[in-house]
Amino acid sequence: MLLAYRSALVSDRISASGTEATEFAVAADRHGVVSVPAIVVNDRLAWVGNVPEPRFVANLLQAAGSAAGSL
Amino acid sequence: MELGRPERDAIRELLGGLAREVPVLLELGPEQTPVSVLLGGRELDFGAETRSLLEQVASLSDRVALTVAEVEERGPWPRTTIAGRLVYHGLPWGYELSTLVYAVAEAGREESMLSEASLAALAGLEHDVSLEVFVTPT
Repeated sequence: MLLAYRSALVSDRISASGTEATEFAVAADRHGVVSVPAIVVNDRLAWVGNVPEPRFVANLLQAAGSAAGSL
Repeated sequence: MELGRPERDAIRELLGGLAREVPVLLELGPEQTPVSVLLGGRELDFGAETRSLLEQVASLSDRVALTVAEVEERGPWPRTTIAGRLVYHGLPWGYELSTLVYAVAEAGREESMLSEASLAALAGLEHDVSLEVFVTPT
């Protein structure tokens, strides 16, 4: 989650939120979350699990449909 | 939940390096989809516990400006917003409290912790992106 926050702090284009899945089980179910951390990008489940920063950024860009460039 | 001395000391040290004031907004109100969790034989009040934790955190730094707002309509409460940008829905217990404290620390820092490569890649974003991370307390 910290990488999502770090990303949002450096780009006005990125909004980041964390959601406690037990407390907000309806929202988690709506996105098909079965394990955590689950990362939802633009309202679609993008990937599950902690990844290193370069992979996080690459995943983010890929899920957002932008040209990822090389990291 | 009361923070122990080791936790308070660690938070105080982490927030000691804030270069600017960081606003933290906690919104409380009736939950959209109430859930019941028992802890120590009593039902957990997510809003009250979140308020207590954030008040304890804010008391450890004069650069953390906590505002608590009571909302009448049902919604995704408790909701914590750091520096007007970083949102957390729910009670930040366990590891998630650490994440929020780190988020406050980074919001109050002049420079990002991200690598130059990551900063360059994110600078190329052409569309708005919404990130939502689902977590559970650990």
